[in-house]
Order: sequence, then C-alpha cells, then structure tokens
Amino acid sequence: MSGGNLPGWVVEAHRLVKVFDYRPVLRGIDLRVRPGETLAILGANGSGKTTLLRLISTLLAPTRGSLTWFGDPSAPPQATRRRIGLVPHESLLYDSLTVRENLVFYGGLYAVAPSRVESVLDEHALAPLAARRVRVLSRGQRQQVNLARALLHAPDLLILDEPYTGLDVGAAGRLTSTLRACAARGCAVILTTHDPAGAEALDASVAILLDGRLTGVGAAMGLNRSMLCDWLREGRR
Amino acid sequence: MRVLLFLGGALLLVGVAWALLVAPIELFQGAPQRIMYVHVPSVITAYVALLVVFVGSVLYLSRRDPRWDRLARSAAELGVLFVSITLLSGAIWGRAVWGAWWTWDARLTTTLVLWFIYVGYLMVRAWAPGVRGASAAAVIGIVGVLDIPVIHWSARILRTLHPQPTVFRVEGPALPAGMLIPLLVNLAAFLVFFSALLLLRIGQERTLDALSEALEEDA
Amino acid sequence: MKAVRLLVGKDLLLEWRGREIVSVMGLLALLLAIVLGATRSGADAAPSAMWVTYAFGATLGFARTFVIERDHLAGLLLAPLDRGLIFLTKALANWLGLVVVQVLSLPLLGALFTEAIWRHLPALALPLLLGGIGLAAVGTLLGALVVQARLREALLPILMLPVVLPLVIAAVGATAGILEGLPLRAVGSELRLLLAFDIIFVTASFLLFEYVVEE
Repeated sequence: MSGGNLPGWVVEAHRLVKVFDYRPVLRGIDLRVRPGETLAILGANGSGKTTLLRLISTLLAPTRGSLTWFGDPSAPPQATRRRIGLVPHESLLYDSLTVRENLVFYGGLYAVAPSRVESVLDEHALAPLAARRVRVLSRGQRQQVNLARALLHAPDLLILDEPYTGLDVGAAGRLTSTLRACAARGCAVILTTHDPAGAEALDASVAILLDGRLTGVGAAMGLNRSMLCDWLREGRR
Repeated sequence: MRVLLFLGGALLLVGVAWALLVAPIELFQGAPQRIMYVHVPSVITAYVALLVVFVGSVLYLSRRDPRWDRLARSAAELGVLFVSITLLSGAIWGRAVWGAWWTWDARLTTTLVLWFIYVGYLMVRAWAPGVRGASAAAVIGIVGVLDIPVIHWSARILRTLHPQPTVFRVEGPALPAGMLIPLLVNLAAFLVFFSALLLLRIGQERTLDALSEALEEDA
Repeated sequence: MKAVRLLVGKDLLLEWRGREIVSVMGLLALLLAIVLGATRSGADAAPSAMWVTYAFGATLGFARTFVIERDHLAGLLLAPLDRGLIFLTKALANWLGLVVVQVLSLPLLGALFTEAIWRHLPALALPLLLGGIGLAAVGTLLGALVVQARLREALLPILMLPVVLPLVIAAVGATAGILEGLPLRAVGSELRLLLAFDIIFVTASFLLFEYVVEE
C-alpha cells in the first residue's frame, strides 16, 4: 500500500484506526475502491462494520490513519459530502411527514430541485406511496424510500449498512438491481452484509472484517462458502 | 509534586498560625474577621481553578488531546472544593459580623452560581465518562466561564452589601500591612496546595487512563 | 439561506403535525403560573412568576426537540451543511416555539396576577423578545449536548438554569420596572444586559455547537 493518493480512487483508507474510550474497534484498515466497483464487507455482529461505514461516510473522524475521498485530501468537507450518499441501518425519514415531504426536504439540503424529486419517485416506483406518511410504511418500503433519499443527489459513492436485513425476496431483488444500475453508472457502492449470497448477486468484491482488520479482499464468485461461514461464526481464528 | 505538598503544608501552617496569633484584631468586627485569611484565599483559588478549567476545555476541543481533558476535570474537582470552602467560610463570617448567613449581592450570587457550574460539569463527567463526555464537559466549562462575568454584572444591577474590595483596588491594597502579609502568606499557601493537589489528581487520572487503555488492548 | 428556510420549515411542519413541544412547554408554563399565582398573586409577584415559568418551560421543551431528532441528526450531518447553520435553524425553531408559549401565557398571567401586563404589552415585548432569544440559544446548545452525550434529560435544567440566571434576573428587573409604569429608559441597564447576554451566548453557542454534535 503506497502512501500516495492516485486520482481515480473513490475512497482510500490507509491504516485507519478508530478507538472508542480505549477500546480499539478498528485496528488498521486499508481500503481502496474504484468508481463503479461494488465492495461487500462481511463480518460478524459487533465486528465494527457500522463504525467503518460511518468513517467512510464522514460521520466519524478516525483516531489515527488517513481517509481520502475522490483523490483529494484537501477537499472541503461540504464538497465531499455532496458526493456521498448513505443508507444507514436506522431510517432517516421523519415518521410524521409524507414520503414526498421527506424527499423534498432531504433533496433541498443537497440543492436538488423538487422536479427532480418527482422523477426519482418515478424511477424507484414510489409514486403511489408519495403522499403517505412514513409512519404507515412497511420496513421494505421504508428501505426503498431511504435508498431513493440517498440517491437523490446522484452521489459518486453510495454506502449502505446491512441493506438486505429484513427484506423479502422481491424487495431484495429490487435492491440488487438498483445497486447494479448504480454501479453501471460509475457510482462506487460499499455495503455491509451478513449474507455472502447477496454479494455474489451484486458481482462484488468481498472483504471480511475480523478483529478490527480487513482480510481477504477478492471476487465474490468462487469464494469458499463454508470456509466463509466458519470464519464468521467463530469470530476469532 | 511532593515538594509542592510540603511547601504548601508549611506555608499553611505558618499562615494560619500568623493569622490566628500574630495578626492584629480588626476594630469593628473582632475575632471573626480572621476568617478572611481563609475566605479570601479560597475564593481566589476557586477562580484560578476556573481559569484552568477554561484553558483545559478550550485546548481539549481544539487539540483533542486527553491531557487537557484530564487537566480540566481535575481542576473542576478542586474548584468545587474551594468554592464550597469559600461559601461556608463566607456564610460563617457573614453571620458573625452582619447577622445574616446570606445576601443576594453580586459576589455571593456569582460564587454560588460558580458552584453550580462546577457541579454541572462534574455531573456531566460522571454520567458520560470517557471521551463521550469529555467534549460535552468542555463545552460546559466554556459556557460556564462566559457566564460568570455576566452573572456578576446582573447581580450588581440588583444590590451590593458585600464589603467593597480592600485588596484588589486600583489604588492598591487598603489593608494595613499587619493584615496584608499574613493574608498573602495564606494565599500563597492555598495556591501552592491547589497546584500540588492538581498535579496529584492529574497523575491519578493519567494512571487510570493508561490502565484502561492497557486492559482494552488485551481484550 | 434557502437551507435555513428548508430546515426551519421542516421543524415547524414536524411540530405542527405532532404538536408535542409546544403543548408540553405550554402546559407546563400554564401550570407553573397557576401554582405560583395560587401562592402569591398581585403585581409584585408577576415578573418573577412570568420568567420562572418561561425558564422552566424552556428547559423542558428544548431537550425534547433533540430527542426527536436523535436518530435523524445523522441525516443532517451527512448533508453539505455548515454545523453552525444547523444550530441557528434549531435555535430559531425553538425560539418560535417559546414565543408561542409566551404569547399564549399572557392572557392567563394577566388574569392571575395583574392587568398591568396587558396594558404595558408593547413595552413588555422588548424584554420578552430579548429574554426569549437568550433562552433559546442556551437551551438549544445545552439541549443538543444532553441528548448527544446520552445524558439523562433531567440534567438539562441543572445545566441550563445557572447559565440563564443573569438573563432571568435582568428580565425580571425590566419587567417589574415596566409594570410599574417606568419608561423603557429607566430599565435601560437591564435591557442592555439582556442584549449583551444574547450576543455573547448566541455567538458562543453557534461556535460550540459543532463540538456538541460531532463524535
């Protein structure tokens, strides 16, 4: 891993360390993601997946190490944030507002016009839900709206935290095709998941977060499934 | 640090003895006036502690170095101690001389609020230990310090009964030398003692932090 | 500026749909006024009753705004927004809520304590305004602090009241003077203090807010 940052990497992490109150959660992460690449990070519960995603999405600052987006270490944070979309584990939607109101609000924060919001609603087949309050939506529908929210401003880096959890087969399939479409447009996609099968469907590179370090970055196809499951189950080698 | 403790203890002994035995008795107030030798140094020390808390808080927020956080919270603990001494000694003195345990004049009100600010700071630390609470407490420290002059201003608008400043005046101290010198000796004693305790506390916190770090690394 | 309108609009819309904050603050304020009025009513009790009511109402309402926001704050922090701007819009929304409470409380306070409140309304607007702004600024900063540091909500009054004491003292002084019929000039020192308090603490809260919300 060289110290230089080549233009062309969407995000590059070098010896990233995050310590919470003397408890090291990430002990030195090295990571590079290209535009159009999909990276699936696998890991057991509590392995630090969410922490890593929050670091990559600018919500957390690293304790040590470096994190560079779009090859520009001196970019102002606002410019970076404009190009990143995050779908976190919790829903960022306001329950008492309608789908449309939520999207218009979030879009406005990124200077997205309401007309674009309408076309995004259509793209994601959300038009029928647009006037409903978020409170009445099902989990899968909320997930869809959150995804639309993250894509409103056409980010170059899309980050998702356990997006497949709790989705039925149909919803999972829709999610996969949306993510593949994003990647095809040149957006980099980073997601965490429990399930290696989802990674395969996305044609993703796979990395495993174990003991605060990333290991085994490789193509999803041809991963030894049972070895992977053993690793994840046992936690420590 | 041990040197400081001994020095502080020695100065304190000298100062107290001087204050009680040698210093002249004030004409109007009598013996209770001697409380001044404890009251004035402790209030000065309490505000010095506040300054330390402020510096520590500002530097912690700008540098994120845990050493400044340790400085700030140790100073806050000592601050509570000295403010409490100030308030108690002041109340006793007031009761003896004015007949009232308390009045709402500017300096009393400000010092009372200072007590609450210190306590608020420590409660934040107690209920949010570690790094999570460090920033929160630092913000409290800064807000508290900004508040103190404003409180003083507001209370002054109300009324003033407190003895007017006799030491910190533009014309120079108005105390006779016989009283001023033991006062200064005691002040020095308090400040040295404060520094010694501060260093002691910081050292303890540093050890505790290092221990936590070592334990987590092994886990 | 568009972002300000957007954010404040969202907060007001949320409040309109839920009506949680204003109702909690408002009811508490009214109850306090009644309790205080029952023990001692009359013109001299009015100023302190009024401001004790607003100060305590503020401490309860302002923690709620961030509790509601707790999970959503990430969404705001992700956006290309200046953290100080988030503070300003939150403080503005909080202040508007407080203004509503102030306005709604005036009839009751007038009835319980003294009609002079209604007679001197134009002059009273000044301390009400300045005092409200100060309460909103400090309350927003400390409310966010308490929620972000996962402290118990009960800590907010403990932290907030010592800080706003000078504001309350000055506001009570100004209100008392105005109710006695004094011209605004006579309560100038109190009003000046309120203004200074507002300037100091709006600025300080604006600058300190980012340290409160970042992790």
